Amino acid sequence: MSEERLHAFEARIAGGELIEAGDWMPDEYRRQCLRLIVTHANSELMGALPEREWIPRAPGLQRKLSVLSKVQDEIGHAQMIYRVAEDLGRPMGVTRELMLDELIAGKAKFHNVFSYPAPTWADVGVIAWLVDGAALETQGALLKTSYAPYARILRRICAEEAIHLKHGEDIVLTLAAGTRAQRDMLQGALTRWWQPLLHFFGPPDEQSPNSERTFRWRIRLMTNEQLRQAFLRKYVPKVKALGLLIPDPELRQDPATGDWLYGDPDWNEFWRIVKGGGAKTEDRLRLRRMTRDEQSWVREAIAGPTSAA
Amino acid sequence: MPIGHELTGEGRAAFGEYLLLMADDELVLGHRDSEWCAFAPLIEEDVAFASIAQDEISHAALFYELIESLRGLSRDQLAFGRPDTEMRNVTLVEQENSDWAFTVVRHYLYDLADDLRTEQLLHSGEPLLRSIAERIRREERYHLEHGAMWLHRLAHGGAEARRRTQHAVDRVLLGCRGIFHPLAWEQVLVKEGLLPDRPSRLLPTFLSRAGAVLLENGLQMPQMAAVAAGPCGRVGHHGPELGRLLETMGEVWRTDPVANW
Repeated sequence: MSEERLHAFEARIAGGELIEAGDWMPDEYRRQCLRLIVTHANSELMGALPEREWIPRAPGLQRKLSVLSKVQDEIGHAQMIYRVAEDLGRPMGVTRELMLDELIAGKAKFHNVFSYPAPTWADVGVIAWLVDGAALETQGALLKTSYAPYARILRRICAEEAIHLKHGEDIVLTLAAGTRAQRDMLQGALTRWWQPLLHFFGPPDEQSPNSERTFRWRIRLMTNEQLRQAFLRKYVPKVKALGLLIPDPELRQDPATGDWLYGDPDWNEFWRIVKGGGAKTEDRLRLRRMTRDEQSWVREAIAGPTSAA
Repeated sequence: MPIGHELTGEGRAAFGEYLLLMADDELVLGHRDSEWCAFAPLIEEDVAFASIAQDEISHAALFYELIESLRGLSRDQLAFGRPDTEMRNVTLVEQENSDWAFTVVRHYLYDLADDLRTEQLLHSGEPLLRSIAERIRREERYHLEHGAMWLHRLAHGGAEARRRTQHAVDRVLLGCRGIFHPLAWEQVLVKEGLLPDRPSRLLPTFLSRAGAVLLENGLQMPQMAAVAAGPCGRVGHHGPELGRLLETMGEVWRTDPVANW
């Protein structure tokens, strides 16, 4: 019986059909989708923190408004994605509270890139342009994922990410055309973020834990290396055109394939961060824990029997 | 036609001062609102407060742009380039966010006061001011609804929420008086047709509206006369919180005020 169901499910996927929350699916499909979706939601929420530090410091009213709007979007994305995760994880007892509790307890994954500090204003530009550019490659490739509710919100998210990219590019272009000090600040930020950007897409395919089933079930459609190459093809020429130096002496394009060959971006550092060792991971989780504890009275107040919506 | 072209020198000065105090109120409160972004008690409120903060900062920008045409200083110079002694915001908005009850009560009561202030602007003889007021009021309607919902939730949310909310009301209502602090040049605004009446005369209406809202929610109106007023932000007297806020806000901009950022 369950063999037959599995065959029927795989035939649907192979035929290009999409899976809805209420459809039958193998437990393993549910688990794999959930892992992907929860990690994405956590990353949106944690990803808001490095840029959030710059809302109070943004130079100029227009910048203040645009950073604020971007961080608001990221948190709004987290909110939407948690809802999709809740629907998918309901049979397994997954709720938003549980996901948030696991996140702040340090038990849940979020993107490695959000474990780094953002020490200057130029980091805000580089994050919004290149980190969001990298995210857009990954998310764009997921628009055709077989889990329909995720694909639907990704369409909206990608549209907003494209606006963030413009916001980031505008900050970067302004600094690149600015004073010596502004250009130095920008180069410093690029140098800091280059390695995390290569890490962003995950380890080389042969080291990636993604199973063959992830691709057969069309949960994911592109490998880490394919995504990294798509990113490099798009952004290396743009970064070079600004006169910025990419901190990788081995970086060169293979004239035959068009692929970018890069020096070893220290995969040991990547694995160390994945296991929870990023410079800012614990600080940022502690901050989240603290504010969540301090405000537990508000959640109790609105959950109480006398509250009226 | 440049704004304020029909005004006397005295009228232009008073107009600039009035715009500046409204702009500073909105900027400083918007900055405080934005500090909640990512740290509010619910994800929904991270999003809501980020939106409210953008509205307030945008309103400040609208007023600063009018001042720009009166005084020839750019809106960023006005927002980022003045010391605290030149800031005209009421001290209520510069106080640190404290807890969620203080945040909700401060914002709601400030919005009630701002509602009266912008309603008055609708009757200005200056068409630009009228159209700005219309735009601001369209957005502020949602802030008022949001604030009323939260005040109700907290006032009916059990003993701790209620205690915190009453404590916030005691602190905030006193500070609200500063919004309508009488100013030497108010009469000039009326004489030159910029406002239908002196803004300080809105205080009794504000207090009766605020009192009604508090009563509806079972909250006590504090004894205002018994407490001495704090420093008056309208004449540049501020607490140390504003100095810290301005230092943070201008941290990057001040490294090079003439650079393009």
